[in-house]
Order: sequence, then structure tokens, then C-alpha cells
Amino acid sequence: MSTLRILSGMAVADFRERTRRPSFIVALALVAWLAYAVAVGRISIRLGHYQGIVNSAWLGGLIAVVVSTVLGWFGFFLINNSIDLDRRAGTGEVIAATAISRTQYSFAKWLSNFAVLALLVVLLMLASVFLHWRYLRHDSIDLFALLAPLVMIDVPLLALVSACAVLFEAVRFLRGGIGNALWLIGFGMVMAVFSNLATGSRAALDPVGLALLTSSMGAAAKSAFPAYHGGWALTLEPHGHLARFQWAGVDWDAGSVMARLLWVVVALGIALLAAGFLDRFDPAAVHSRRRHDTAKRQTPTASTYDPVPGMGIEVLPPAVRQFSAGYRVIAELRLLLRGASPFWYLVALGLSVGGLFAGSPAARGIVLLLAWIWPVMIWSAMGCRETREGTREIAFSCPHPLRLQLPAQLLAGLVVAALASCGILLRLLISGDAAALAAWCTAAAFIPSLALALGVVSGTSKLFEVIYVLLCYVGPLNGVAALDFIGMRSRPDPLQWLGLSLACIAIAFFWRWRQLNR
Amino acid sequence: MRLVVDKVSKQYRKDCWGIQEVSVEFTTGVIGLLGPNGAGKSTLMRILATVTKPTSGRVLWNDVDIRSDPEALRAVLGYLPQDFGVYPHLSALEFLDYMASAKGLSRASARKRIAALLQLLNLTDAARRHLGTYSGGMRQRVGIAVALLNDPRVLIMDEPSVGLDPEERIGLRNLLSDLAADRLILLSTHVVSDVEAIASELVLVAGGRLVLKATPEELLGRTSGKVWEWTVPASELAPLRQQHLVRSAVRSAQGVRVRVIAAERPFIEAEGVEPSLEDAYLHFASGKESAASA
Repeated sequence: MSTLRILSGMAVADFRERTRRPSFIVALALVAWLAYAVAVGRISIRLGHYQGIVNSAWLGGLIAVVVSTVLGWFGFFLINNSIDLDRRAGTGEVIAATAISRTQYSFAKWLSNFAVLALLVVLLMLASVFLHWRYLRHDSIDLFALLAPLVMIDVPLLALVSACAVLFEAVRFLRGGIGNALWLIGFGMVMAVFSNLATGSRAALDPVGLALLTSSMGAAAKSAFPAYHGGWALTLEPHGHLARFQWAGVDWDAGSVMARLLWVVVALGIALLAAGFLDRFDPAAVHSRRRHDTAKRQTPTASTYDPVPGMGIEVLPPAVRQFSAGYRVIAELRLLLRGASPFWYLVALGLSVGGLFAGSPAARGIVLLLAWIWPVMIWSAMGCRETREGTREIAFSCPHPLRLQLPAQLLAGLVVAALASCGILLRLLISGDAAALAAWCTAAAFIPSLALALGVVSGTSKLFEVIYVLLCYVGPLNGVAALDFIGMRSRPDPLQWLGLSLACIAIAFFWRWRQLNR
Repeated sequence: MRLVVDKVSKQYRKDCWGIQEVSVEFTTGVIGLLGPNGAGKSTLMRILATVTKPTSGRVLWNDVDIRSDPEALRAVLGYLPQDFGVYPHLSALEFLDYMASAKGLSRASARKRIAALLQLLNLTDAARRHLGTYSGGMRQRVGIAVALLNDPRVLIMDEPSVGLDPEERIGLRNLLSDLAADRLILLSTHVVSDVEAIASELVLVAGGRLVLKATPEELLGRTSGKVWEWTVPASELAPLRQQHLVRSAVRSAQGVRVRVIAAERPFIEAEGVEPSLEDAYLHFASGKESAASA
């Protein structure tokens, strides 16, 4: 079988599987909303007090920036489950037993990742043509100016994102929560650094590609309004009257086209690098403790059913029913904390104790933020573990799955929040800072409530990991007061966060009730 | 102890029914739920285990409709699904402890019962190992232990012998036989030998509908005189398969010894033989005889 046939066969099957999943429908809906928001002016680009006249180039540039930001940043989470799907479905071992090489497999996964994102971009291209026809009737359409930013900026970026998704799945350390958090923060930093620092010829170095657009837009703004001093923002809020300038689009010379194509080559390189980390779904290729256990599995006495002579059901003591909330919560807590490494516990302990010695509010805020980011993967299992591990049917057939199981999970999550930051809690209690204490309480309630709601609704850990890390990044870390739920830089409104917590709990209960009544 | 299924249907999508208009009643003993793959056994099991709600119809546990009050049954239920997972980072001991708390057992009682179940299922030596390292058979035994944790009055097991080796299958059969005295055990399988020796009643489901409910003796009686054996040349096997329900074909030096299920002697040389339960199952599952005529 030719390499091309192998690659296309695998990539097409993978593409079909993933475009038929609910998450893709959600992504389609998001893309439709983005197109609409751009069309009605809810999303716009502002360069200081100036804005471009809306024409084909500006519309294309705006859509390209939106795609880079949204699909580049968050599209990663739509596609970084391709290898995991093979692992969970068991098809991975079947594939591993064929002649497909690791490189071929990695490239096929890269292709299918890229195809999923590219389909969304193609739909946006069609939408942009429609939007132009609908909202810019007075202006003749310049297809090249409209579509070139999407092709030149976004296609190489999405190729890069697709390759990174394969790499993050191939490298064991980057799978799951740690990789998700690294991507969120890393991509945000790359965007911030390049789009603000890279201008002129250096703009081509920006992997995201925004610098090419914004430096060209900035040059046009400067030429029309010499008072413009740089900077740009993608805004979701309406702004007052802005002076308009004409922008004809990026001058796509050979240099800038080559620079963008270079990122496709880099993407191929990353896919090749990822192949080196693939373990061909070998269950034995796990860390040392697991290897040790697997070896023990071969012990004949443990793997065969050799009934004890003369032993029957008469040895079974009676089952005494007596529901205990404490026993239930401890069981949930043990389940949450099992699987974490000694290193994880050590860091958690350090952060928890460290809070006791954080004197200034600023230091306290940093320690609290770290202490509550560290258990992100512990909380992210809440509400979705039953789906993820396939224990749903057993759990749902137990008594009171809604009234007893869900509150126990929530309380266990709350205990984790308290344990992770007990040093700071103690310090707040000693200092008698009632406002800070109230903020701590509402934040400690909000985190597990959010985790439970997102876990129950989505059935995956990923949604909470993404939203929570983003919330920490935007709110406490970047000082957006409305999202600073821990009160790192501003005083949060306890009632607001308490209300949100209750809303999350209500959503979790409603969704679980729906699952139970299907 | 009475579990009544009254005209229960489950529709997944338009034109896609899991089961349709199934009515059947269960009391104590081992009831074997037989049927080919895709017959609707698992759908019926899930409905009885309160995991899925029927689209229409009622399920009554001691006259209480479990659709409106599932807790009445959940309190006395032990359930082993066909496909189930475990928490790979927990040991068997920890997983069973977790499930005991979910089933509302007291801590002291849970400890004693878990220890005894681990011993009964010969998992004591592996009890402290992570479940992620267990073989398929061991994991299945953990599932059986979970189902038995709360000393259930109603035990629902969907394909419990999947993944078990022959020795383990015998052990499970003996265990269920011991448990059956004062319990209702509903056992779904498509392997007749799993229920042949222990089932007091058999329920046959095919195409989402109930085909029949009978004791093994009744089933055998109704298949009596319909099982034939004779030897044919190998070249005649293919045409024979097109005409009759060939249960088995064993090659020998003289030709192929065929076992055929047919209402009348299919061939002059065919000898009538005693039917087995598997013959009876195939006879009714093939749809050649309706439940009414049975």
C-alpha cells in the first residue's frame, strides 16, 4: 500500500469520526456566531482611536485576526484528542499491529487535525463572501483582498496548531491538563509578544501571523493620522466614533508569502518530531511503576480464578445499610486525590504551607493563585469521571445518584480547595480580615462548583481545564477585575461569585437529572 | 419478590427501537436472558437496572413503578453492565470501598463484606494493586464483587462471563447457583452453556421483541423430535445449509456429520437425536417457530 493511500485513508477516517462529534457541532455554531458578530460590528479591531474603513481588505483582515485568536488558541482543544480517541477506542493497538510507521501515523493525525480546522476556515471564507455581499453592497468585492489574509495568515497557523496538537498528544508529559494549561498560557504569550514587538520585516517571524496584519494596518493608520502611536486591540465592546483610514490590505510580496510558508514547513517538522514520541500504543511503555505492576500481572496466582475449596456464599457477612455522609465524602476525596504523584503532593504541601508565610496581600494573592491552579487536574475529573472511565452504569444504578453522589463530589472538591490553601485560610482567620475571608470562601466554593458543572455537562476534563486556566490568566493574573475571583488585585463581590457557584451547582444537578432520566 | 415488565418499549431514534412491547414477569431464581447480538438484551437490562428509562410501558418492582420511584429497586439491586470501566488508579480494595459508600453501606459492614468478597473471588492477593494493571478476567471479577457488595435481592448481570476463562466461568456459575435460592438473578448471555445448568427459566429475545419464556425442560420438550444427525459428502454441505438450519458440521473420513434442526425428517438417512438447549435456542431464535406455537 502506498504511503499516500495510508495517509489519506487514516486521515479521512479520523476526519469523519471527529466531524461527527458534538464538539464539532459546537465549534460550527461558534464559527457561525463569530461571522455574525463580525458582520454586525460586535467584534472589531481598533488601532488606538482609529479604525479602517470597512472594505474587502478590512473585513478579510478582521476575520483573519478572529480566526487566529479563536481557532488558533482554542481550536487546539477541539483537535488534541485524535490519538487519545484511538487509545480509548482500542483501535490504536490494531493500528500498531499494522505496517504503518510512526511517521506515517503522525502525519496522518496532523493531516486530519488540519482538515478539521481547515473546514472551519473554509466555512468562514464562504461566510465572509456572504457577509461582504450582505453588508458591503456599496463596495465592489475584491476577492483577493478578502480571502488572502485567511489563506496566508490562518492556513499556516492552523497547520502549526495541528502539528502542536499531535506533539502534545505524543509526549506523555504534555497530555491532559498540564499540556492544556501550557498551550493556553504559551499561545497567549506568543500572541502578546509578537503582535506588539514584531513590526516591519520582523513581523514575518510571528508564527501566529497577526504581526503582519497589524503592522500593515498600523502603517496605514500612521500615514493617515500621524498622531497614531501604535498598538491595537480586538474588541468585543462597542466604542464611540473613531476616525477612519483606508487600508488596502497586506502587500503580499514574495518575502512575506515565503515567511508564512516557512511555518508550514515548521509544522511538518513538529509532526515529524511528534512521531519520535509515539509509543505505538504499547501498554507497557508507561512509567516505571506501571511497568512494575504490569510485570506482577503475569503472576499466575493472581490472574487465575481458583475457587477456595469448600468456600461459598456462606462466608459473606450481611450487608448493613447505614448511609454516612462522612464516609461518602472521604471516598470521593480519596478518588479525587488518587493518581497524583508524590511530587504533586510535595508542591501542593509547599504552596499550602507557603500561604502561612505570605505576609503582604500581593504575595498572598500569588501564592493563592498558584495553590489553586496546581490542583486543576484534580478538580477537572469532577462530574465527568463516570463517563471518562466507563463507570456510569454502575454509578447510576446505585441509590440516590443525584441526591447523595453529586453533593458528596462537590464537598470533596471543596475540601481540596480548602486543603490546597489552608495556610492562607489560617492566616486570614488570624488576621480577622473579614472581606478577604469572604472572598476566599466564595472562591473556594466557586472552583469545585464550576468543575462539577462543566464536568457533568461536557463529560470531559478538558472544558474545565481550559476555562479555569483562562479565567485565572485573564482575571487574577492580568487584573481584569470582573474575573478576579480570588481577589488578587481587586476586591471581588462575594455575592456575585456565590451566585455563580449556585448557578453552576444548579446546572450540574439539572444535567445529571437529565442523564438519569434518558 | 416480583419484577414485572409491562409492555415496555425503548426507542433510541426514529425507526430505531432497542426493544418493543416486551412483557414478562420474574420471581426468584436464575433467569437466563438469551438472544443473538443486537437482540435488545442490554437495553432491557439497562431499563431493569434503572439506568435507562423506557419510552413507554411500566416496570414494577413489588408493585412499585421504578420509572417514578427507581430508589425502591436501587436499594436492593446489584448490577454488572456488559461494558464497564474501573478507576485505574484505585486498588480493588479502594474501588470496592468507594462503591460500598455509594451503595450506602456502613463502613464496618463494607470492610467485612469487601474482605469476604475478595476472598470468595480469589482477588485477595491482588487487592492492593491498581486496577489499571488487572487482566480482563480479574477486572470482570471485580465487577462481580461490586454487584454483590450490598447483598442484593435482585442481581442483574449483562454478559457476566465475557472475558472469563473456562475455569472462571464454572466458578461464576457455581456462585450464581448458590445465590439463587432467595434472589432474583437475571443473567443475559448469548452463550447457552452459561445458563444451561443453572437457569430455572429462560427468556428469549430477538429483534427487540420477546420470543418466549419457558423452563429449560419446556424448551427441550418443544424441540424434541426436531433434531437430526447424519453424514453427508462434503460437497453437499453448502446446499444443505441453504435448505436447513445446520447446527453443527463435523468432518470425518466418511464425510461430514451434520446436526440439523427441522420440523420433519430432512433426509431419509437422518436419525432423530435428543435435543440440547443450544438446539432449542437456535430453533426458536431462528424464527422458524413462533412463540405462539411454542
